[in-house]
Amino acid sequence: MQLQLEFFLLLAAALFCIGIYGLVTSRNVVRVLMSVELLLNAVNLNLMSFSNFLDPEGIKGQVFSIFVITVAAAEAAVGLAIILAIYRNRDTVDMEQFNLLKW
Amino acid sequence: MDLSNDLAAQLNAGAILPEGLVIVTLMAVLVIDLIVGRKASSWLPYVAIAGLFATVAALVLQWDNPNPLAFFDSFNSDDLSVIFRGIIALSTVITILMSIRYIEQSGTSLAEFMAIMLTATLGAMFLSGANDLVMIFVSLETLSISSYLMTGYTKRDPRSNEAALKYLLIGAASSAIFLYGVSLLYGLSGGETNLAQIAAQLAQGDSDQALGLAIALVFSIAGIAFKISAVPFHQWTPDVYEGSPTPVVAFLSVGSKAAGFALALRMLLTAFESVTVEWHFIFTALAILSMILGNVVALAQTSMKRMLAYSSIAQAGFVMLGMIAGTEAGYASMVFYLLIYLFMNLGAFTCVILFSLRTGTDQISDYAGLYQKDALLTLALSICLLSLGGIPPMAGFFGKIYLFWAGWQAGLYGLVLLGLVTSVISIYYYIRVVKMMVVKEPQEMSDAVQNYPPIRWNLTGMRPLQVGIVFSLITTSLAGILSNPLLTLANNSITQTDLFHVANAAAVETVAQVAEDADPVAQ
Amino acid sequence: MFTTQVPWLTTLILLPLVAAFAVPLIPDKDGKTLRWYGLGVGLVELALTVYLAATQFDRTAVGFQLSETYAWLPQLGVNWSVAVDGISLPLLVLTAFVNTLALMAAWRVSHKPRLFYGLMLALYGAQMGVFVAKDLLLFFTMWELELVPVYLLISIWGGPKRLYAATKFILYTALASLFILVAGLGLAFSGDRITFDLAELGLKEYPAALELFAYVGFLIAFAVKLPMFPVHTWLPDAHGEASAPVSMVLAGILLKMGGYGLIRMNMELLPNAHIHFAPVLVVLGVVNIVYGAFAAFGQTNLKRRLAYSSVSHMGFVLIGLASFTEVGLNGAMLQMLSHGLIAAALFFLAGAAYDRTHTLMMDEMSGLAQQMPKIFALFTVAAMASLALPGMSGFVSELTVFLGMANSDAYSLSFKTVIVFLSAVGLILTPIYLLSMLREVFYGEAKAETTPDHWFSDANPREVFIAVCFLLPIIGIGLYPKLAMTSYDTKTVHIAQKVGAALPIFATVEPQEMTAERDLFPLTPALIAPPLD
Repeated sequence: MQLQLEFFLLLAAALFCIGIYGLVTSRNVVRVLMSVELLLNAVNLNLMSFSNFLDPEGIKGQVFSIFVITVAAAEAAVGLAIILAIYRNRDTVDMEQFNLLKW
Repeated sequence: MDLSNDLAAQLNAGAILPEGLVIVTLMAVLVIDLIVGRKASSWLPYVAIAGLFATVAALVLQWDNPNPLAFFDSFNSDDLSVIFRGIIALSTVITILMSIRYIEQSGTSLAEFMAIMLTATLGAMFLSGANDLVMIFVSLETLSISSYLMTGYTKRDPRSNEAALKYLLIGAASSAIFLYGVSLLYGLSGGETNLAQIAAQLAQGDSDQALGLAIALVFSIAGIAFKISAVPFHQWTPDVYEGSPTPVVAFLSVGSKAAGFALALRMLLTAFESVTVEWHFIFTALAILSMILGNVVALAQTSMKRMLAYSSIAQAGFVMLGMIAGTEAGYASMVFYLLIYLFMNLGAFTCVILFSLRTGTDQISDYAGLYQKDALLTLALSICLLSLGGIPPMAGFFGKIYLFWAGWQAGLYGLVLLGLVTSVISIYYYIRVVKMMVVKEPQEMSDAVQNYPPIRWNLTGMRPLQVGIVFSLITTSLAGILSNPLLTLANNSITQTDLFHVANAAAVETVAQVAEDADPVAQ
Repeated sequence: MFTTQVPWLTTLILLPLVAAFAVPLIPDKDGKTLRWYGLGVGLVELALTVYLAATQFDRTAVGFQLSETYAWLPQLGVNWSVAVDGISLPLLVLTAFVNTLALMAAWRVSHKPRLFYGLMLALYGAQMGVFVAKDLLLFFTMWELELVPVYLLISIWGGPKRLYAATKFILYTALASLFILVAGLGLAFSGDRITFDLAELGLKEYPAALELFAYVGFLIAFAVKLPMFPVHTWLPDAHGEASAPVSMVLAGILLKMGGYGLIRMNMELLPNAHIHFAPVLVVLGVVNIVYGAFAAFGQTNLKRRLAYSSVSHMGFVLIGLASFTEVGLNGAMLQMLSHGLIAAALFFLAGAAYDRTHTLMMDEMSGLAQQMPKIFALFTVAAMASLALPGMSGFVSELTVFLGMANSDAYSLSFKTVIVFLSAVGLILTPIYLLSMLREVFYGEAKAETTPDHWFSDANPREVFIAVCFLLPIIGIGLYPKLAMTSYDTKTVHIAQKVGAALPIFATVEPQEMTAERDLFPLTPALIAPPLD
């Protein structure tokens, strides 16, 4: 059986859902950051499969996913830097502890 | 030779001359800081400001550009983007004016701050003209990542850390969601990333794409709504506004928000042209929620910055009204309101910064009796807040009138009425601050005001702050009465932009094509 | 309509506003320059207004005069468009008069005088703006602009409960003024041409539903300002707490803005809806008169009693407006002018008494007549004017309203009888509460704790001068009403005809059609009857 576009899309959607789940439930900040990476990878999978199936000449999707990976790296770097800064100040990376700002 | 000429023509790199100037300024700031060191910090901000003014000048030259598309259609330098880029560049100028003293006092490096700020400006400006999904994503992330950095800039302050963390996590998640929507859009259009071509493809698409398109629409709007902090995607706003350095907040509330609206206009009007009814519906809901929640929750705030956060949420709701109107007058009123909002909101933030620099607090109750100690600050803050509340004859009143006028004309009676009612509610919390400052007796003065330091404008960085305050005071009080030039500008930016005809043209093309296809059959 | 003449009316608006913004720049070493500055600006403005009324204004013309139109926001169809006619001119003069005297009455302000005079001048300019605006949006802008100074004036220089009073004032009036905007937008967008110009709006034809809707909108806004029962409750609080100069302006001018708005918007623009609502106005007017009188009776605070008497007197304006006769309309106009003078005088004198006794409670201030005979005399004259003693302006105006109502052919005889009878009851109550006020405050034994130690000084020449300035026109109009009437007579006749022209259509329709109409607008009580022969 040939691999169809839908399979990839469903896999990406599943990955996306897992990412969202992790985002909502994680208490550890690093885990939250990892969940965001999962979301971005779901997007990459989407882009790659669309690019292969629908746009094999232009391959704009592949270029797009290169950009996504690059930006994700930058985002992760900044995120980890911020986490490091907050860890130095507060000695914790537990989301529940960050409650200085509240209405 | 021919090829390179052709390539140059297609690149049309002149269209991004303003952004180029920002990049040059950014490099200059970094390099000068590297070579000269801290000695340069007294005049470095003025280099940045000069660069930004050059940018604005370049933007003025770009006005009515006959050939706006650049870089193979991925960047559009039409009048709409020019005016949004202008708003963003100006907001950065004022933000830099107000940040000099603030950063000085917080003991961090000013040059780095300005470098990040200029990067954010760059991202926001590119976003205003981005016409291609990749371009949109990259510029959006440039803006976002530098915003995260700025938010956490005072890294020894745990509140700033926390704000940065929250902003980063929510921001990254929302841009991932946005991106997922965008990837679906790419697929649904059969592999197109250019907005106009996506629209053309979607218009031809069959109905079984409806679900995919709906998901793409909702996810994209979630990303946009995060940037313009519309309810229910606003949760980050109060926390970030309270925790981050105030100049950053000022930039986020104006520059970043303007970029978000530019993105919303461009993306929704071109790519999602075929689902106009649906996105109007979603935005109506967002506008209603933003106006109600923003204004009502602002009533209960005790911190000035938090109050301004909710006020900015509510203001976004008002601006969305112009978008939902869907007429040229509606879009023009959006642009006009953002122009005015730039001055009044930045003016209010400048005053808040000045007050917190002198007293070290931003609690509303600490403003009690300020009139006796600092009349200029009281006057400027009162005028800016009254203008935000929409009291005539301040600029904000005319902005709101134009929005409501456009909304009413487009038949949005319910929304306009809601806007009117909520803006009356908003008057209450703005006036509360004014009352606090003006009405209190000397014996009711807060401790912060009682220990108010003598007013000295000759400290480093105070003069620019004063310039910022006086400038926004004058513009806020006069821009309304003499708003005709601004209004004309806003109107022209809309009427001379092809964006509002592109979608139609695509539709016409499709119809023509269909007719062509049908013709042989008839023969 | 553009003329190359001197921009008189624009000057009238801008002079006090610019002067207000210049207040921070005035050197005020000895604390006296500022009040002379304020008074000087007021006098110049008054002189300009009087000059305008005397020489530039054509009393025989019906339409707008001295029009000036400058493009303001052409995209929105909004112009800086000002003009006067017979309705606005007398009120304009009254505004200049009362405000100038209020500035003079504010001689002793020592608490933040700079802010005080700035706000008073800003308020002055905004009021002038309301009366000369010919553009609906300009009218609304000026209407709103006047709220902020009043709010601050009450909340900074008021009595002990000033914050409550000021907040109540701003809530009521700001919320209500929104309805002007909504109704105005509705009218402006109706039809194929968007315009905010009042003269052009008057020529438009509106759908019946829109007309009723707009009428209700305007009515709510102006009823709060007037104030009309049941939205009058901000007034006693505001008056009770405001200082004397602010009270003078509040009672003298701001209440008249409500009446002016009713004539300008509701009657001139929407005569057809006016027919449906006129009976409601009459009934509410009577309620105002009787309720105001009874409520005034129950007050122990001097200024609150005067405030309720204002509520009572403004009821006559409502009845006059709804009488569909030119006599009634004339009476309403005259009542506005006369009440503007009388109420301002009474509040000024109450303020003068308060300056000395430091209390407004009537039971604490008896027997003042011996100590301040001049204030007593002036107070008595003003109170007599207020209770409509013949020979004073109040008598003429209230009588004219009665005449207009009695001669009105729009209402059935029994309805008119009931109305006139009930208003007469109110009229009888007025002397009772005013005279009892005089008795409590001025007659009787002086209170033990006030007499022996300090003797209250009597009115100084400045105060006497101010009071006399008010009393002279009151008596002048009372003896020779034509003095005031000539200025607006032509215009009121015109409006009464316009409103009346809408009336016969309604009165002579076939009975079944009438019921159909009534079903459409259930608000209309079945009070319309064929004309009396």
